[in-house]
Amino acid sequence: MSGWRHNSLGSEIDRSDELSFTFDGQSFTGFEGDTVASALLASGTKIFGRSFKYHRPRGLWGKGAEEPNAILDVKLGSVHAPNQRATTTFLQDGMDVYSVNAAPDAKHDRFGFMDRFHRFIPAGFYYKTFMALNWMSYEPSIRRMAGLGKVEPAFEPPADAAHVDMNCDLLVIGAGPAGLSAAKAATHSGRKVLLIDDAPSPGGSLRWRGGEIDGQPWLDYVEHVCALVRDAGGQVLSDTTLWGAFDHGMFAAWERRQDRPDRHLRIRANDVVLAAGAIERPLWFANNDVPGVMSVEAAMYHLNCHGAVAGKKILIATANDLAYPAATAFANAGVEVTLVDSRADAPRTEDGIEQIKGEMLKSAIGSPTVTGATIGGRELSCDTILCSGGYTPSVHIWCQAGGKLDWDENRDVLVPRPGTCSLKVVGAANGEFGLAQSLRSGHLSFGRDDEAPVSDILPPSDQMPVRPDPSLAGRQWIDMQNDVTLKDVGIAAREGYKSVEHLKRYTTLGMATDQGRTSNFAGLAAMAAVTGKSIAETGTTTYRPPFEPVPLAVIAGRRRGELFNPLKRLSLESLHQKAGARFREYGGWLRPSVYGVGDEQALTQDEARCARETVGIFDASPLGKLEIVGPKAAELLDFCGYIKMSSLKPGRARYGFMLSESGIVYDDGVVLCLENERFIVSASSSHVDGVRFRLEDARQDRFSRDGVAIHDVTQGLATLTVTGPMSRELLSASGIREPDLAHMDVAETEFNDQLLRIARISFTGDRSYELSVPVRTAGELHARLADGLKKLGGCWLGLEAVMILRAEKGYILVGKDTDGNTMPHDLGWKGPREKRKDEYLGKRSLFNTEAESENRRQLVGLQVGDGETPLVAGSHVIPKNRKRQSMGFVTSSYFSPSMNRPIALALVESGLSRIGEKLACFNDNEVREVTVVSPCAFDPQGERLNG
Amino acid sequence: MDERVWNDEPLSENVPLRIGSTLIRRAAPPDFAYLITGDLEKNLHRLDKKTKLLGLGEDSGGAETYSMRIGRDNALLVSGSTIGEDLQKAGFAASGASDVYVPVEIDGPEAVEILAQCGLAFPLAPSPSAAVLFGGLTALYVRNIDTHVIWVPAAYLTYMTSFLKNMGL
Repeated sequence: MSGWRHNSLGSEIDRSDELSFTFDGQSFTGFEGDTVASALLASGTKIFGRSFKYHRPRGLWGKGAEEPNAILDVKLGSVHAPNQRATTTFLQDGMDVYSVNAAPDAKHDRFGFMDRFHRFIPAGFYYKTFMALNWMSYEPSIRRMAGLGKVEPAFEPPADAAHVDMNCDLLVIGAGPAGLSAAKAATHSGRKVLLIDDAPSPGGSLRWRGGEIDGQPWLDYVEHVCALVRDAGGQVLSDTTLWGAFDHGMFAAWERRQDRPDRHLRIRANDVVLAAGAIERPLWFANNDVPGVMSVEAAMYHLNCHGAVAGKKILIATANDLAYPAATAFANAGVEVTLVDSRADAPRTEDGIEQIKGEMLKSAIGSPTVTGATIGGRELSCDTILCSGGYTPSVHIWCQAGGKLDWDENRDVLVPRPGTCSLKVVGAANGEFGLAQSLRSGHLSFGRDDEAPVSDILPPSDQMPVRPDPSLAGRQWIDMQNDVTLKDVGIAAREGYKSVEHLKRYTTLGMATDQGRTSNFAGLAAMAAVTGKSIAETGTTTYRPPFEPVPLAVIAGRRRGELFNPLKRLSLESLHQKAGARFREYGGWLRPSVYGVGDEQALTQDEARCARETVGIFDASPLGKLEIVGPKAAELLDFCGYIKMSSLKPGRARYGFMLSESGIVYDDGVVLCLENERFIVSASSSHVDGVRFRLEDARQDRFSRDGVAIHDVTQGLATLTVTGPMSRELLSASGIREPDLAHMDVAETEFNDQLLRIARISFTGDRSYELSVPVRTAGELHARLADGLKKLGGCWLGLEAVMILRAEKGYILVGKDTDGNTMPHDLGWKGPREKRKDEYLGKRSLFNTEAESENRRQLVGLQVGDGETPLVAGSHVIPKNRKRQSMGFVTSSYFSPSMNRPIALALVESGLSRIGEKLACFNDNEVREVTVVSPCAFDPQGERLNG
Repeated sequence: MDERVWNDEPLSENVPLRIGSTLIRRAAPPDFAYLITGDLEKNLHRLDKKTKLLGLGEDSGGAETYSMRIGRDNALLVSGSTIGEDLQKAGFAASGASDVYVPVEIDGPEAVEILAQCGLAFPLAPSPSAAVLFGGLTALYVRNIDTHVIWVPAAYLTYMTSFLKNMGL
């Protein structure tokens, strides 16, 4: 318990608003504006979690997304967010926070004993051990121990994150000193700027380091720049993380909003400035993972922004000037500070701060938390160690955008290589550290040198490069979250995994939720040292999005659940609902499956029986209505269809197929000829877009621009199909005048002063009329027909009943009664294949070896014995008394109320030559005898079409 | 046996949707609309010299007759009177399409944010086609002076209503 709350510092907390929360079941308080990390730090908490492999106690290291240790499960009411970083999670009243990878809690983890076996489970242990044993025997135990937080199965994040596309003139990523300076200069040169920053307020390191810019306090400067940007028509977005750069100049950002859903921004900009800052490197010494070892920058942030002081007796270990203001800040806050600088010529600290020059920190002392440190062979007492091993430019976005890196020996950093990416990189992200340099760097991206802002803070002098030291005794942690030590890097090198990409995969270095922000540099520096290469030769790993973890709910956005796969809806849906319809999806449309209350199968049987005995109506609006118009319309249809349509006379309709280029049946349907140069292709409901695409493809490929046009007017017309022996009477009872139409005739007339198209087309085998009207008059047509139904005693038909009626007649449903091999001659349609001399889509494939095979699966009917139940659709058709081998499968199977027996359609090898043959059907270990029959089970003479 | 309860409804002509201070209205369908195909630049003037050919987000200026370009040579033409024969004479293949799309008007201070959440990126990049991926659908987007008008494929109006209704600005 060494952390505490300063009574006046903390510019970003509201002390009047106290918040309560729990951590691992223990109650704590914090203030509005606190992060979970700062609130726990101020409460004296040191152990935030356990490491992944050895279950070592781990404390707070950082201040943002780089945090490797303080990973927590956060619950607030019904909301559960696993694996949140304490540093980026803002405190809310009533939060329950739990450590991960620890049982029962981080302080008393029962798996802490794992650390005692660390000698036996170094890097590579898994690969060598588990390939030799039976994986299944220990998999459950491994699974239980693997992973960090637990996902609450019952919790479903709300699908409310909006996806917003944005265009902008200039995107500035990062609102720290360099970003602000760039934004200001750009605004002055007439640019509209989108300035975004992941912190709750702009300012970057100014928020905790402070300073004066151009003679004014930093906060005034920040407000001035933001006002300039807004006045020039730009935007400033705080709490917004730019998490990825993608192809074609797209950037993705996650905007967190209070009391409103988050937004996921997809940004395209004319120009981009990257001012993402830098991440402080740790120092590497023995036990550098003990709770109480923190980043200097983070401790200063928690102190000045939240008043959370990391300890009472702090040792600061560094090799650069940028840690000195922290020493002063902590001393001013009343902390006993000792500063250890590896440089012999380090600058002097202010009075009251003990300073040790030219010495290295060798080890941290203490268990489970820091109690001291070893420096130059002597032990110093302290409760907190703050380290600064220099800074690593945050170049993730640069690299994601395709930029390359160069190693800068003088600055000891990897910096963007000019000319390899269109982004401009400024400030610390470009290796230009210190306030003055950052301001100047940002300004020069758009402004003149003599107008660059100036600050009161002197630029830092040279830093001393710091590297992991293999000669030090004890374990030095390179990756704290994934428990990778310096020794593991050596093992990887000895095993031959010398490439950084191999090192990463062999040791899991940099693969944790912090994405290696604090470990990657150490890893490659250590590998360079071990292999005797330079860092430039060793290279870096690949930077991939996301820059920091983004909730999947944000990426998924709002289009989940009912919005995921939007269904088309019938214009008459509400009227069908009133008639008792129950809806289901059919081919992308929500359609009535059955009408009424009660058992669906019984209702379906009643509807099918009623339609055969009297009359039924079903909504066929989803059937395609593709108008093909123009002098070459018939030619286009001939080319795209298996059946020739050019011989079709106006007022007539013809059934046909569309084939794919491989000769497979893609769709079937009726083509109506309205006039010589005007046809309607009535594609099946689920294939309208596909048929239109194929027609359009042929049109653009083979026809002139003005020869033929294709217009999809499906959604503008409602179609009600009247079917049954009393269909003509129903039209009459409904006051609809039926032109004298023969089967497959079509005519256009008027209904309520609007178009009424009547087609004598049957999908049931009974006399049928398809009535199509514009949607605006569909309600009236529905009302008229409903009145007629009442008078005649017919019924509304759901799609399930229609399925029975069409299967009785052997009418196929493409995709159900056909598969990816079915050609038209398999369905009994041999004529065009044998007689057509002209070219048509799929023709060539109808004559290849496969198409000519004698064993092709052909459409047949299957009949079972009297009193038996229907076959199961999908059952395999097998020989009756020979070796069990699939000869095909059942495609459709129903109980026919009209014939009072089951009916079935099937694709069977050489099926058409097997009519009358006894075969068997196999399903779920049951074998049933079947007889191969004609697909048409009902009214084979077709007498009812005109009945 | 229902897979789920479908109780969402399409936007009604009588009851607009309000998001903040912005109204989303289902406008009355055009008296006459046609899907036309032909040489738009050359032949649209033969129909009427004043007929505008609108691209993405362009303003119809309150005109009664205008066309919204969909592709290179096809468009949705809106008119206050029946002009099917005129279209044919002007060299277009035309199909009556008065109810194929439903015009939805968005008017108010949050309109740009609503449109952005549906997929439009502001400031708009100029496009000769009014067709745009909007809320996951291919719709047409034009303006009528200050009112934003989305032409939604009729069968998707219920989906679009749900998409707009649950938007959190």
